[in-house]
Amino acid sequence: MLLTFLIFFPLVGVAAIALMPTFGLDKSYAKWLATLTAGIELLCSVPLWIGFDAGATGFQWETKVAWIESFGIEYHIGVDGLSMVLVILTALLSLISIYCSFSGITEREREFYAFLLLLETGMIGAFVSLDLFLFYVFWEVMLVPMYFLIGVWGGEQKLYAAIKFFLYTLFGSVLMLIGILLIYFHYKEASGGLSTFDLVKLMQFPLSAQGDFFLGKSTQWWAFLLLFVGFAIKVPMVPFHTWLPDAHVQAPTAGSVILAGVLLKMGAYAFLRFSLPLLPEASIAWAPFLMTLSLVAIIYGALVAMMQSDMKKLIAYSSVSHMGFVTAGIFALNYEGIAGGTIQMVNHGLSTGALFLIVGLIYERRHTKAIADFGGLSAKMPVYAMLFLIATLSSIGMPGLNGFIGEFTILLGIFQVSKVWAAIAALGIIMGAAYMLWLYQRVMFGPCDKPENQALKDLDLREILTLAPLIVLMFWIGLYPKPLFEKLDTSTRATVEWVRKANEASYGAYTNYKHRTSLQQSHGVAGKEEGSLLAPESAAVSRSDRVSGQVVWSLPREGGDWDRHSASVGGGESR
Amino acid sequence: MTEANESAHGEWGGVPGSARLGVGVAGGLLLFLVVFPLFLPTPELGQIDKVLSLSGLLFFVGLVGFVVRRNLIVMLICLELMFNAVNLNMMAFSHELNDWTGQMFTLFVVSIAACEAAIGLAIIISLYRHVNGVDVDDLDLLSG
Amino acid sequence: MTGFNPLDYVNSSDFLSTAPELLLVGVGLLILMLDLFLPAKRRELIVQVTVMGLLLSLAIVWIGWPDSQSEAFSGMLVVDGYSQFIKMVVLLGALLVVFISGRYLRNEGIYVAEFYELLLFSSVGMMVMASGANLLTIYLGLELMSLPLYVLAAFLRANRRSTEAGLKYFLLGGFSSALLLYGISLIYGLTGTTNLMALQHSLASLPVSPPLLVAMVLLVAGFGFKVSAVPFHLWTPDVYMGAPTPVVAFMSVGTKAAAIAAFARLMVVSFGGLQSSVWASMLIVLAVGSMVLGNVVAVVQNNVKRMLAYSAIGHGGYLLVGLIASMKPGSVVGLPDGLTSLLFYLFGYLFANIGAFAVVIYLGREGQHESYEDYSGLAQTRPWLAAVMMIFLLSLTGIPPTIGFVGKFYIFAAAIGSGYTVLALIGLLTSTISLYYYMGLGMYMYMRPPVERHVFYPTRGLTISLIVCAVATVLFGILPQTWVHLAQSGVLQLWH
Repeated sequence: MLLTFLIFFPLVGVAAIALMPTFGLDKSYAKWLATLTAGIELLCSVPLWIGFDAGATGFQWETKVAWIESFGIEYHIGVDGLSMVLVILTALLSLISIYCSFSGITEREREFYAFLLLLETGMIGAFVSLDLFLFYVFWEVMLVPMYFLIGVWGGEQKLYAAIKFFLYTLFGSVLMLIGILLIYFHYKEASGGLSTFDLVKLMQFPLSAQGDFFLGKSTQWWAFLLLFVGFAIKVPMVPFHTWLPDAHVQAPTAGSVILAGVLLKMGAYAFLRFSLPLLPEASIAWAPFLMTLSLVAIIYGALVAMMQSDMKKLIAYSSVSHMGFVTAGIFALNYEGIAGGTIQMVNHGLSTGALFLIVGLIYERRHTKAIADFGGLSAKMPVYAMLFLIATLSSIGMPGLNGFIGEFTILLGIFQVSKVWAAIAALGIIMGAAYMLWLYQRVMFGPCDKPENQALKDLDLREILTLAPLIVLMFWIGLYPKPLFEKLDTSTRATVEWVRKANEASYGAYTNYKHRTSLQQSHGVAGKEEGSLLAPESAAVSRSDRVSGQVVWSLPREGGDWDRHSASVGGGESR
Repeated sequence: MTEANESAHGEWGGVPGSARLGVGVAGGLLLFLVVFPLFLPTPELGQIDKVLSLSGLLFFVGLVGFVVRRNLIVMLICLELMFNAVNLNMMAFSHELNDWTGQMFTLFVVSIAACEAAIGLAIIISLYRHVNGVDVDDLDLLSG
Repeated sequence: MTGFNPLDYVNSSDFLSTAPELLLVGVGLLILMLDLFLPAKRRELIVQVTVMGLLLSLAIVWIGWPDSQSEAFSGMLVVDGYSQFIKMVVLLGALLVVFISGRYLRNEGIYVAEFYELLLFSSVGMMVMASGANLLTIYLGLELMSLPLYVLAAFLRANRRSTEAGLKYFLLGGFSSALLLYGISLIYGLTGTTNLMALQHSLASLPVSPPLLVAMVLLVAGFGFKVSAVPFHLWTPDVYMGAPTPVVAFMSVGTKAAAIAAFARLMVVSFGGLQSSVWASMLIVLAVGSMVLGNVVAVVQNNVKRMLAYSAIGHGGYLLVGLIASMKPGSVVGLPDGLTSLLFYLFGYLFANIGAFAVVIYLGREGQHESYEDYSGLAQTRPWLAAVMMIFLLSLTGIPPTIGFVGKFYIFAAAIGSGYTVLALIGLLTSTISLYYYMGLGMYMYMRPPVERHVFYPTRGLTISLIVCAVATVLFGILPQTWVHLAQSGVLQLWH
């Protein structure tokens, strides 16, 4: 019930704001109503953290009500460690983005806050949905308010940016919908007519007599591809990222914060929540490809960020780079990678959210975001300079702050897969430090020679208050991440274990066990001992293992299929 | 008056009336020759192929006339030709199959065709009040 | 003919099961009489009688919802859940149109009883089509539906655009019914019957011969005109733009519903056997053409009515996808999911589309204020109006939580379930295109500064229907189960 309340409570705020004229309230009360709603929402999400049983497997606070029986669709919600953390992050960032808009949004305030609250409903709903259909509904519901936030309160190019954002994401969504339907119909066929979109049910489907997962490998492959496009656009992974800079630059500060802090997480979250559990074999098959894309994103995002002259655009491209870390961690497919990826999602939400707020603050004062218009601000605005510095250091992964924890854990995960990849990713961290520090230097240091900058006021209390929670959390995660890891532990472990198990089961179906072990011995490879759960049956798979045209997808350590993957995706590194 | 006449029988993309008629007849014959041999080998229809051919010819003359002619009244007449081809078909089948459904159908088609003609003429008159002509090229306000 | 007694062929249950239609005919005739005797200032009574008639008819449909299929008039008509669902859609459509048309008719000077009477007769035609179990009744229903619509489209006698629209609709409608009739006559010749069930038996063993193929092509052409499927769509944009807006609203939903209902019944009941693959391949061409052309051309429109016309072509394509999904290649019996999704889609389309046209009526008189620019800044001058319009546009695009989303989801799910994954993919991608122009209008409403506003034309009826449409669009988008179930049980009755 708590989760249901969390999903729908912001709608109460929306209704209250919509009906304000009926009760004769002045429109200046809209922001207070919105703050109140988001504040209550945040308070009510805290019990999730306190009451969360870190040791329990499966989902907690589950609610399950039949919804559209004809398709077996259920209103099924619940959280595990991963989604619990993201729900709280969403509630926090929503409150902050509402609070930070007090001075920036002066026209059409009621609509603005109503859309923000509507967005919160969509985001929290998507994070707690355990039914594919329900998830899709909330996923789409998020689009509409975001479209308006960019389109109505955005910058000069707002119309273009808004429709581009909407079109891109909807394009991904419809492909994702086909992927979901593919899974649905295969389940229906395999189970003899049962229809369900329920994640838990789909995963509990009894493995067939051959020990196979209900989805055949080729179906999984296609379904993964379809879901991948939908999720990758949202992340955004590299070939699909072009909507992001436009949307970020044009969006109002609150929109950017939500976009960077929460919406981008949605794609990575969906990979973890749906792709890996439902399509384990395809996830392994696609992993090299996704890893490659992630590394490209890390390097490309960093390089492009260096060249930007607009602060918001720079941070937008840094998001591409940082989200590359998240997906790289996830598709390392081992415990460290996934745990690090999850932490990095939170970190990126905190640090990039803070950076967008900081840019927003200076934009409100000077109405420009061009780096060249600033310089030497640290003398005029000491508090601002300090907060900016903390956010910057957090973003580049300075030890003691949160970014370090996430990136380090991810690197641990990638390292187990490939040292070369880990090296490339590490290069990305160095470049990240370069462009962020350079940005800081150009804005904060040097002579303050622009006359417009002479009269800049430092932050007032409200502005410091908007940033304070983020700064506190940065230090907390940076210095004492243990509680966070503990909460995430079970769900991460379950995901990794599930992928490994499904993969093993499918091996059992298609290969002769003795043959495989002998292969392992002859190659002297023992997958599990190497610490990674990535490829438990890691011997090279010979052609005889492909039974009746079925391709055995795997991620072996040496030779064989690995090369085939590399060839097919064009550029995977081979160990 | 002469102007109205001219617009009614006026040029159609620079093609003179006789040429249009030629195109119509040639098209009808072509369709007739191509489509109706298809029916001949079917045993069920063997006995009445001549009637069917006639109705097919009528139908295609109507169809081609409807497409080619620009005068609304003539188009309406072509429509009636098509309906009558259907009637002929129905009667022939009815006779052949010794079944009364076809005749019943014909009665309905005749009466509905009459209604349709009445409504069509009424709308054409209404258009005539606006444009002082009954040519399909006068329907030019709604395009884009 | 000795001893022929017509009453041998009818009994009281026939009248009972066709009560909704008969009632409407009676009300139509009553209105004609009232019009003669009522003073001009009591005109309101005619509207009230129409509304009462429609409501009563709807109530009869609802109360007498059948559990199984039953025949009426010696098998000329059947009454089953399927036909009743379509009748419900038609009646709701007519009811909403009556509500949205009052002020409009007064403004345009056509506030006359004939409008309501023709509307009622056309609805009866649609209902007969939905129930038709014989090619003859289907044809009669089709003409009874179309003839009043020709007149309604040309109803603004003083307006040249409307007259032209009526004439175009008439010419192409007459042409299409001639094609349809010729197809029917060929089928009659091949099988010796026009009864759908009897056709099923004769066609089951009939191979696809050239005459049958010609007949099928002609049938597709005839129905394709009514559903405005590409390449038979040419009349649609012109007629939608020229005809009076309430008529267009009615036409866009009712004609589509009735035509596709009759076509679907004909196809799955009579032609379910050997011919289904031929149907499917023909219809796939039509469906893909409609979805692509309708949605792509709509992008470049600047007139809201014309945009809605092209989008209606696109929606016709989606309906055809549902129809195609009901025919699994190689299986004799159709799949219920395809038809169910089609019914549900129509139900959703009803509210969103009539709602959108209601907003068009709200904003301007015929032929004025129909361009996108006239919607600029509507969110600031009339926030609620903009909000409901936005709901309708989202529903037409297929964004949750609206009923349009569930409809599209269901149609494409059915298509994938029958193995037409590529078709579903095309459909979904074209609906992404549709986002561009629907949201284009949304952009004008929300993101442009307000224009100098002229007059709005609000009435109580308009407000009521807007609220009803918006609430239904959202509510049934969130809780669609009742209607899905109703459509499902109706479709299952088709084969029994």
